[in-house]
Amino acid sequence: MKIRTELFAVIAGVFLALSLLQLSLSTFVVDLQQEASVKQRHFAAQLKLAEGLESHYQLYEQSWKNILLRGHVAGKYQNYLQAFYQNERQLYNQMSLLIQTTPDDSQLKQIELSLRADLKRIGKQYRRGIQQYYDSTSPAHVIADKFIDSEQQLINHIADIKLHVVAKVQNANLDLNKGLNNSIQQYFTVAMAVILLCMLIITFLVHRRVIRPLEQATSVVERLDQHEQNLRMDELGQNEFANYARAFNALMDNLQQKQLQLDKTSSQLIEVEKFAALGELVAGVAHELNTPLGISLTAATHVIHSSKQLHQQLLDEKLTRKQMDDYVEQLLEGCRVIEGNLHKASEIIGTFKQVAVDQSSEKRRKFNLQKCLEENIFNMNLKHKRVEHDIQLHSVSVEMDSFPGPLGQVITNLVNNSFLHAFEEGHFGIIKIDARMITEKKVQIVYEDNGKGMTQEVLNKLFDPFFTTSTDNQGTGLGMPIIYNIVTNIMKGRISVTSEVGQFSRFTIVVPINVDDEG
Amino acid sequence: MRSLAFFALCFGLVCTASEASILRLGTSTSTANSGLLNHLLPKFTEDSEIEVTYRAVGTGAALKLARDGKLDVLLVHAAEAEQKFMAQGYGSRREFVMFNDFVIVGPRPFGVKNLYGAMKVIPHTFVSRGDHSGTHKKEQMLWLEVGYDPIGEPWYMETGSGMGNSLVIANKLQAYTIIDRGTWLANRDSVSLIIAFENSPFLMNEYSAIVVTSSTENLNTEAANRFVDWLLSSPIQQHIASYKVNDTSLFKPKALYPR
Repeated sequence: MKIRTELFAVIAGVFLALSLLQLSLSTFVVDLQQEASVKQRHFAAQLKLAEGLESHYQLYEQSWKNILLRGHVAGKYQNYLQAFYQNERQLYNQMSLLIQTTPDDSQLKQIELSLRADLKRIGKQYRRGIQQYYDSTSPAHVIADKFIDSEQQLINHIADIKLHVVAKVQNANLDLNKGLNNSIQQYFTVAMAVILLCMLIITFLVHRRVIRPLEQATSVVERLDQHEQNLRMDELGQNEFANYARAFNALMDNLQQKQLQLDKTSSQLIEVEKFAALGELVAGVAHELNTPLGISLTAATHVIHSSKQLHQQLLDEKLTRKQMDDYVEQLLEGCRVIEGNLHKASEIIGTFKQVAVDQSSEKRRKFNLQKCLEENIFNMNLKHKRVEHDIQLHSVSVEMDSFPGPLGQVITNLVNNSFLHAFEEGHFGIIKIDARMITEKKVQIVYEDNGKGMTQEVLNKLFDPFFTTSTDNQGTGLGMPIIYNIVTNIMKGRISVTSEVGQFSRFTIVVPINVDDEG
Repeated sequence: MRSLAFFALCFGLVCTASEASILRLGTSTSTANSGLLNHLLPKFTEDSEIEVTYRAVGTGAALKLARDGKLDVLLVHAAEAEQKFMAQGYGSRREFVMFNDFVIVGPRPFGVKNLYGAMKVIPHTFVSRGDHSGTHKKEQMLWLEVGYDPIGEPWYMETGSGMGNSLVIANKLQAYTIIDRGTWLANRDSVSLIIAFENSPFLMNEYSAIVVTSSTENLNTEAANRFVDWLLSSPIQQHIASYKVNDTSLFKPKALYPR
């Protein structure tokens, strides 16, 4: 699911939950209010009943007294009797209503029930009073007085009931307020919990779905930057980051493929170049050897020709002293030429041998880079003592497992080149050699002189064999190819060069500390 | 002067006679409601030239009025109350005159034969006169007999009225009530109730005539005695028996009372 969707869903969910909560609260409050109003109505009705009870009882009592006190008025006592029974019935009805509307377990019910018992009792007493009234001539007030205590008890009960009902009405109001407060408090607690939960979910979501993928992406990019290969992001799910990871991975795949193609192409190119270089080398060697050998051949041919001439003149016995002297002189001259040119050829062969040196024969051992560089520069200083140039060395002291001899040769060749080509007469040259670690397994040696520099054309052909700028036949054109060969093939490193005409030439050599760790 | 005195005497006599010719009768409502009084009293006035005014108020009330000296003679049916009345000295003569019986009427028959069974079925709505009349006293006696006190029960309704009114109320409520057979026969056509229980010894109803005496009031005792005598005379006893409603005698002469 999309992160967007998830966030929307969470927020919508919370909104829904809060709405539901709100709805339930309002429903609850409405219910509570309804319940309370029902209760209030109920209690108001009870109060009315209780009050009615009082007035009905007074009527009842009055009608009873009417029978006794006014019953003698002709024809009236029957009316009073009817009124008495009627009032009693109404009183009972009122009582029953009150009892029906009172919960069974309340204290009020007990009072009401005992009131009804009292009522029954007093009803019977009243009847007995009427009976006595009918059966005797006792004055009515005497009879009436007998019931004062019972009446008082009844009146007290009625007053009790009224008090209870009033208290109940007040309690109901209190209960309503309490219930409202409680429910609102509960609502807020639940709402807070929901909001908190929502925040937790959102935090979790953001962490899980945004921050972690971002961190992962960052770490992948960092590791890619450190040349780790075949690193890809996780493409889990369907969200935005997964899409990003897919796009990124596709890009990386593409890049890697291109890199592979490039590597392949460049290695092919290198092969081609190697063949071309070999061809050039052979041509160069052939050309270089051709001259001294040609001269030697010509000289030898001349010597042979002169010797044949002398031999003929000897056979003809026409050999003169002068001829003999001339011949010897020519012979010597010819031999000298032959010797010189063969020397030259031999020298060329020797250098060539040096170029094509057998790599396996070089001694590999552990050595300290700083010491190795210092020794070579010390030797160079001895060799070039008469020249007032300065070589400055800054090097890390690192143990390497490589080829110290060829490394020295590289340094020697570079210094020779600087002395021979870079520094012109009267120029005070400064050579800076700076060796430092660039990774744990690689060391970089930067060699820089402040000589006359090289043009772009020179730079392009710098590592070609037999390419030389010297016109006085001082260089063989093999120094730089040898350096290149040693750095790339023996020490498994890389060399690059930059230069600014009239300013500097800078060679940057990167080699592994352990020659096995190439790449 | 003598003639004047004679005249005065005559006048006095006339006056006395005219006073004596009014007899105040107190009786239960049953005698009036059943029509018996209208059957008897004109005949008495015809026979004795004594005017009778009556008050049909129920036995208790009648006894009360008699105690207050407002009645000369009673025709009532509440043996216990009557005995008490006599014992208290308010009556000079009490004669058993006639009897009838009560019936219990209601919406349905009880379907039981004895009184105990009947009264136990009653806790349907029951209308009581509640007026200390003879009927009411009979009813109270019945409750006492079966040992049940209905006072204050929701189904027990006291009207405080006479029999006629109480019957109307019972009809309206479709309730049970106890009624003397005379009143019942006179009124049964106007109500939709039927007899639920009858013919029990407990339901017998004896009527007595009582001559009232009073220490304070001037009572027409002579006329009262004449009325009682007249009631006990055999022609009148037959006359009582001859009063029929729907071909049924309502009151039976004392000679027929099962002893």
